Amino acid sequence: SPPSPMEASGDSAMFEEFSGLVTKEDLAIPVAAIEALLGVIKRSKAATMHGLDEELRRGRDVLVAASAKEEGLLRGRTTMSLVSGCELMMRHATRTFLEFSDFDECKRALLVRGEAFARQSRASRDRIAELAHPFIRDGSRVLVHGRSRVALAVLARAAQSKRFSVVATESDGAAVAADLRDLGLPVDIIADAAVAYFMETVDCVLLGAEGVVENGGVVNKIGTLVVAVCAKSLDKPVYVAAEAFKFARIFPLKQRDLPVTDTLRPPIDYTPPAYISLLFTNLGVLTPAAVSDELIRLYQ
Amino acid sequence: RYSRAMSPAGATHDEESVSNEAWLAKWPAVHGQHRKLVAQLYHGEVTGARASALETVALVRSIVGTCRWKTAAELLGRLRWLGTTLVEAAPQQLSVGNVLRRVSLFVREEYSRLSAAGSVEGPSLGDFGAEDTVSLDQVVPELRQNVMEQILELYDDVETADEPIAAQGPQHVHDNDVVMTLGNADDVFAFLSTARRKSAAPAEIIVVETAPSKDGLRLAARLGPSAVVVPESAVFALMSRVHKVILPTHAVLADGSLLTPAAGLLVALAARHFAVPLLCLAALYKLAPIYPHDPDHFAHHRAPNDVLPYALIPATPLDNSPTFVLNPSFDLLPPHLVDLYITNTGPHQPSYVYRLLAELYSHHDHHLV
Repeated sequence: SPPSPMEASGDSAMFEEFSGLVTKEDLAIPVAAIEALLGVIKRSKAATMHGLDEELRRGRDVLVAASAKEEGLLRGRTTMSLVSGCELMMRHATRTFLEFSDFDECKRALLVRGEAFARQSRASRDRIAELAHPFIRDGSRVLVHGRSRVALAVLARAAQSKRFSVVATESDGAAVAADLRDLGLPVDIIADAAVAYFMETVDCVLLGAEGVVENGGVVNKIGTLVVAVCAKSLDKPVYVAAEAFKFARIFPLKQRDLPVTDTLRPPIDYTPPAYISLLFTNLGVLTPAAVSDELIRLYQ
Repeated sequence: RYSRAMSPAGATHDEESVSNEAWLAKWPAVHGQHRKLVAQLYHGEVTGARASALETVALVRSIVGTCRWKTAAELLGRLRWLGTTLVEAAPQQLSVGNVLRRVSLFVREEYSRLSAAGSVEGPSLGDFGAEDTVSLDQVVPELRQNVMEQILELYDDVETADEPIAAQGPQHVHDNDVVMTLGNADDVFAFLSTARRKSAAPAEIIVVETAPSKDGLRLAARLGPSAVVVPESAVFALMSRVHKVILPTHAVLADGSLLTPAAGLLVALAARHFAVPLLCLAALYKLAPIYPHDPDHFAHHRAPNDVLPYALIPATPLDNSPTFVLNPSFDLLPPHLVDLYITNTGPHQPSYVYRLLAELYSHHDHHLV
């Protein structure tokens, strides 16, 4: 049923807040979503937990639907990380509902914890950079694919104490080169088709992720699987830098299991865990096997 | 001699370490024990994972039991300083750091249990707004005794770790098997002896000589006349006839990779080529929560004299180019070469190491030193 005027204005207020956070503060999409949902809780006039839960679900649906329509907002990515961020927030809300019997106490706890969670989520990029940068050694050559801000944060942190060079694939290469120029890192932009040619000159591969799936595999920009297979065949480590709120409860077995609408020009692909050496997350450095443990602990 | 031992290259003499030193000096016997262990580690008199771990547990036992400390926070600080001094003396003895981390976990767990001050578990997806600050400043009287009990148990565990490992021998080494190994590790010897003793048709053991230390010869001598010694050059040629490879372990790292005596990588690659299962014997005190992001970090070398006697090095080098002679102690094996780790708590796959580490140590102590 179409939203009532009050609901619609609440929706647009939330979406405004969300797009502001993404565009002006350069926050990761799921982080902005978490803060936007926090805003929903703050403004909520619901008197029951069920009502609050409904509002959160509505907020999530509005965010996903509206972001899918606005091209520039997602920076060419799918809504996958937005959905996992919202799902995580919903999961936390549900657990908090189960903990308290009094609604006001519950709402207060939800807000306090939600604020802390949002704070931690904002800090996760830096935390990942701290954990990951020792893996980029002095004098090494790093291949990057796609334009992940987490991967960029890792490179920036490594550049503070080490000299190394970067090879970027051309589909996002110019943007990546612009990002890295300020760090004083030499960047070579190569054609996507030349990844195999240059792989022997590279020491490691650093990727971001749109989603980390249950078995420790990743969903990322199309072309990631090519890079990963190539790296594995030449024994180069593949590192993925991804925040924990990107962990998604999906278990793709084949590429066609991914939620892709344009089947001839898929924007994403799935890289199985066998091709990934380590994941750098704000929960620590994880092997792909450890990812499912984390998901089990959350959803237990 | 002692002052050099106390300050190997890179040691810091900042305020904190000076004050910790002064604190420990109030108990001369323990202080002496500490200085002695630092010197022994530095000079290689205490060497190897087991000996280093045992001596470290003994020292920690003295410090926790004898010295005066009030709160868990203070004790953890003292242990951290202690760990720094020992690890600086011998950075390649990873089991030292592991013991310190293990004891730190005992302290955190006992404190949290006795003072109901929140859980010790690491950051997890399920943490909703939980800030990672558990105050460790409450004075808990039973803490000392409880931690001491755990430390005594740890000493026993480390001392007898080879026994549960050896007991698993018969499960993996069967009648008429041909098994290849290297080095002269006690746990490998116990493992193979137990398997052969309990077998009607004892396995044939091929020992790689492990030059230049020639430790392989010593192991073969212990195993008896039926053991065959081969040089490293014969490993590939023989591997197709081998049923299993058993390797000793110096340390296991966080991603499942491991450090073995030099020549281990050669044997492991040959085994992978011929699809021969590779088992590594690793007691839990050898598991370190550190990643091999810098392989040079583990580049520990022995005297080059064993490889090329000094007398044979020309006094005036040809072309003015120096002669480099390397005698590395360890090889670093990536996790995909290992099929199974045989630990004192049972067999585990390399991909399971992260779980073991989460149970053994607190995430706060991973970067202990």
